Amino acid sequence: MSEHVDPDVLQQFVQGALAEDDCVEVALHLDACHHCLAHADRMDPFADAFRAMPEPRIPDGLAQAAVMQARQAAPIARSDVFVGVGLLVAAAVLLVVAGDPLPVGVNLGVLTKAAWVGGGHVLGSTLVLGGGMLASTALACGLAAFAVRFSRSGQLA
Amino acid sequence: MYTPTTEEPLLALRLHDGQDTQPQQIIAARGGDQLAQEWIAKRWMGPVYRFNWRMLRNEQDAHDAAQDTLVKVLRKLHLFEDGRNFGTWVMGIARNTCIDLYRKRRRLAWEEPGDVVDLAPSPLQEASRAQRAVLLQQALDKLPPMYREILVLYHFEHLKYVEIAEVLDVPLGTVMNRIFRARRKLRDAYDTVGGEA
Repeated sequence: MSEHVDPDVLQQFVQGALAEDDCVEVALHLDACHHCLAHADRMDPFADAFRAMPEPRIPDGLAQAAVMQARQAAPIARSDVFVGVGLLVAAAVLLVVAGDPLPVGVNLGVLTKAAWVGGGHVLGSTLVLGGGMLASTALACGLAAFAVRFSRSGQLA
Repeated sequence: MYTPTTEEPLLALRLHDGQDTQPQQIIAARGGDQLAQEWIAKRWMGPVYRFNWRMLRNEQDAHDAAQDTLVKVLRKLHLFEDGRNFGTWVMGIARNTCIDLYRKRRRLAWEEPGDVVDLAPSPLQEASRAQRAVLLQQALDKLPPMYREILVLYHFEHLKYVEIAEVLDVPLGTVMNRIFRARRKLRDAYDTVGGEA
């Protein structure tokens, strides 16, 4: 038979009169010992009244409704939109500022990558992610073509 | 410590209702298995709804918070770390959802500091069990949420102390400190509503 908490100590525990370290020790014991837990319960003046309190009725179909809602596409987080737009703007700024001195191939690679990630963030949900990436890549290609023309016109000038 | 000389009857105080969620069910639900998702939702709707109902004290709010909680649970299953206690993870999400709704509805702070009141003998100890339950509900309603939640988790959902610490994400010592404060405040509130009755 295992050791149990002394009833006087248990009484102090129930009344909140034990030091914190002792409280933690008793609590860990109660978590594992039904005997002492039952003893402490009998010392608790409110335990019986707690058990007499009514239980709420769980609404029918609530679990089913949660499953149906969870299976729908999650709404796009506003933070994802901000990140995506920020990446696209950064790509455009990179193009304009650093486009001329960098080789066109580097511009295209950086821009496509940024637009790819940015587009994914903007469009968010998995279902439309592929479409978003395609659209972003097309946008990146368009901007890259503009960069090529811009850099060539600079060279010509 | 002492060793009892006779066996005393055990009370089923901390029986967690229903079955535990198995890792296979979590894996299946993560993979999109609708039956596994329904099993998890049905298994945990009871504790989640009861917690919200006792904290928010409004059926519509409890309904909304419980549904939101289970939607979050199902959508965040990939974030659940295997080996952890699934029940305390679910109840932690329920608590956070409840706090958000509580603040939105009432524009109040969840963690309201309070003074520890003296432990005084109740004048209503002789009242009938049903009467005491009614008074206790009124007293619970008067407690700040941070104290009410710990009593709800302990007395109604029968969580162990270590499980409460996991749900609240605080050390066990903090749980003990808070639960004793909660009990003292409850007694004070109980005496107040008893005096008004």
